[in-house]
Amino acid sequence: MTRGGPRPAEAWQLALPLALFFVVFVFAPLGLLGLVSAYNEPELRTMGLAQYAKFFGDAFNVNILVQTLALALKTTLLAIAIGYPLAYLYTLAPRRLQRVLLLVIVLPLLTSAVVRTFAWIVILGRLGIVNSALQTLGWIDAPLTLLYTPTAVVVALAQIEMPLMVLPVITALMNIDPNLTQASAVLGAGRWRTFWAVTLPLSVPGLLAGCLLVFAAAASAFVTQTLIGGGRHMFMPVYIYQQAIQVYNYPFAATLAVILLVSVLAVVTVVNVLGRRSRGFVHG
Amino acid sequence: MAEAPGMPAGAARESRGSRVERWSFYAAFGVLGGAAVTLLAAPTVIVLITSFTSAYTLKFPPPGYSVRWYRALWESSPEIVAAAVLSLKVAAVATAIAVVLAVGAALALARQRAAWARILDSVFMSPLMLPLLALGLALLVLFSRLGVELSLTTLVIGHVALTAPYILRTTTASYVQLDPTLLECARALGARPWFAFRTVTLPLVAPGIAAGAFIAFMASFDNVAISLFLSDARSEVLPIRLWNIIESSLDVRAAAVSGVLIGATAVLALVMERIVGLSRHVR
Amino acid sequence: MGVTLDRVTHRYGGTLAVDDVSLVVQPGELIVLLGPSGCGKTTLLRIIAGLLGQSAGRAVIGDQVVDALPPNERGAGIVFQNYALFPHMTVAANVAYGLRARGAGRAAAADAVERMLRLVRMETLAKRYPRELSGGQQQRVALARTLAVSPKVLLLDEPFGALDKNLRLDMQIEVKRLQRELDVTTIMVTHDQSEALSMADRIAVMNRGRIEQFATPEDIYDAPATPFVAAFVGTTNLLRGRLAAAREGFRVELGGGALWLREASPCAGEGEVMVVVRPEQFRLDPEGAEGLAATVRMVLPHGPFIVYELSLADGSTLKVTAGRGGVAHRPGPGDAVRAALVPGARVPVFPA
Repeated sequence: MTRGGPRPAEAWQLALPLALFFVVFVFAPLGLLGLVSAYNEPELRTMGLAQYAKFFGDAFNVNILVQTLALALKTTLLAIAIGYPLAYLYTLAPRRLQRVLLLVIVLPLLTSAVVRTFAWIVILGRLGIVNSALQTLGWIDAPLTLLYTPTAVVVALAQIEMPLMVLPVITALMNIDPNLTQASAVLGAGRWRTFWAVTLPLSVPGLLAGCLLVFAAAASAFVTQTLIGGGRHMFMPVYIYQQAIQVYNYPFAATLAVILLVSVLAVVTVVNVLGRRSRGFVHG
Repeated sequence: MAEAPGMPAGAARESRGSRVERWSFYAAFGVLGGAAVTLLAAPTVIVLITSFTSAYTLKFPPPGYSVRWYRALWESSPEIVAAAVLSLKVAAVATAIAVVLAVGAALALARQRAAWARILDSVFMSPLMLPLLALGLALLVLFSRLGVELSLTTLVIGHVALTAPYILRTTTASYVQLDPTLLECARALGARPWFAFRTVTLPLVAPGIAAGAFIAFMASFDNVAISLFLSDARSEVLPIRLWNIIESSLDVRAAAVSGVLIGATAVLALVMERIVGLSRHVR
Repeated sequence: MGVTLDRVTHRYGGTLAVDDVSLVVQPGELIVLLGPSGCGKTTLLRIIAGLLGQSAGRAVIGDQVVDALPPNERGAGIVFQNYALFPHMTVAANVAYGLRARGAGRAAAADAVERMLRLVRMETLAKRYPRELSGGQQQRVALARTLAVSPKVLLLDEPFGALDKNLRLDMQIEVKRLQRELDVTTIMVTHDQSEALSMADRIAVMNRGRIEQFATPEDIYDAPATPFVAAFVGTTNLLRGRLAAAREGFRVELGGGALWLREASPCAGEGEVMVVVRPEQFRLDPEGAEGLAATVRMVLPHGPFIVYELSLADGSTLKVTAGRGGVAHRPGPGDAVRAALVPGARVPVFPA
């Protein structure tokens, strides 16, 4: 029963314009993308699986996919390590501080990702704050090469996507009934035990939601991957861009896009299934 | 009042182990959380400071301070200004269209528990999870197959797809929070559906729509993945222009552009926080 | 204007929320739908208001079958449990809402608003917002808003549920006063039996989607038609026993003793029965007198009267109340006593 809301018959009509838009401008193109990936040559003459054979037959290509997924995974783990304590700190903070903290978390999310990537170039560059600090301390003589390394990409991405992790975790933590942690304390558990045994398990749904967002964002973070990774470290998004815009090999670019899409969706689906289980567990 | 008879002389003390346990817990989360806050805020602050450098490099800390790069931006960078104007235009038009489409969908789906509604909802939210680069390429393929030339229109179409989910999400959230008895009450008091919508639903959901529209606008303004494929050769949006500058020359004007964007974002976000309680709608 | 429900049935999915209910409410009458949560009383109210379409049956307001009318054309005014005041409008704008929705001009609406706010004694708070009002004030505004459109029937959904105990009585008097003054047919839903007994002209006791009894408060209390009504309204001892005809009436054997009744209704056949005795229908005598032999288990002073919990010879428990003053015999825990019916007590007997 839908109290107060539009009845199902009217609901269709209101959702129809967006649904039509999605059919024409999201699903039709993605379908077409799949179709184009099934052509054997850039001139789109014969159909077949030549592009997929080319991708999976070449260790260079497969390695790019593996590197991309590994980058997304490492970024996600680092974002948990930094983001979770921040989310937890938020729930402990007094109300006024919470408002400030929330703004500190939300502002970066609204600020251009290009700008935030640029910030890391300023920090990690040869003349950046890290190198000048190390030189001032006398620990190094010449500036280190910090930029254009895989580690730099992971660190920068984890920082850039961190709000996507923190916000859902905060929501999950705030939804935990305070009586539960108080009950744990009264039953004799200390702060650490209460955290590991009650708070952390109950925040898993938020944690998984955050992981999904960070993983998906990191896997397709074209700007950060290119600017911090430089030309030597290739990831799927740049590869797609090169094949399409510079090489004009649409079938292969489409194949790369389909493979990236399917990989990300596969991870999202698996995590969603896990998430549904953990939610059932949280709400009894 | 007289002291109760039989009171013991001293009060019980917390054991040392318990005290250590408690302090170690708060110290750990305090330090880690504090480090995270610093990490979140510091890069932005560093860029802001760098943008006021007087030097030709991105050296930090800067050897001296000036506003020369801001002046250079304003006086001798017409291509950057043009890119910014184009980005604003695309983001504004795309957001306006997305508001109309997504608010309708949110009203339709928010309270439906049926399977078709839940599926449709996750479909509409999918651009937040998809690699947008794939969608950009897909749209490019579609337009070239259809023989449609790339233009402002094709760019806007791509941006509508990426902005709609944000508006859908915040509008749905505030609509779900709207007490359904308010609408029933309006109807029982004699209001026709449209009158009830205009006088009750819309005013109460408006902050959610506004917050979503703002976030959507910023997402569109910042988007590279879609614009990369859908803008024609003559029109370059600001984030791509900026990306080009940073990749090719590390021009200090990039710092000045960043400074402007950081300032504008912060001001707009604070204004939106004041008017519609932005941060409540992001969660 | 009266309200008639004719064989109304409503299903939510597979469950019957309202099961073949017929009800005739006279013009100007205040009736209460009383029952435990989930008995279908609120569903019935929403059907009358037009917020819910029933699965079967007809609803009549005045002389009009209203089933085809949307809520905005039924002329039923409803006050919700949480008042549902529009949070973004002032008190005055809330009260004017129904009139404005019907196309009334600003001036006409303002006149009516002033009149209604005076009626509920809220004229000084017209410019406030709902969040600035206390619970009682919010309810007055909700009433004024509903009454402003001159509804043919006033529907109240658990109107006092959100108020604290002291305020509740004031608002009950207030609502009753308004209802008399405006002579508006009123249907109120509640699960609070004392509220129902004190306010209603007639009470419909509902259980599992059906009306168990529709009668005046006196009849509901003194002559419950079913064991459910007896158990739900007031405090009761439900006693199982065997009924047999005896000299000048009947004899019920129960709890290791026997009670004599002058009449047995609604069940007069001999055999297993359920007897419903209110605690105040018993009298405590010292041992040796007539009545059921019992031992006092607990004594609970309860303001003007005292509640005794007794255990009978067969181990079953019995609740008895007695006034505080004027009782020579006041037993304590462990004392052996006799519990007898007070003279003239009407005790319903149901087949077990």
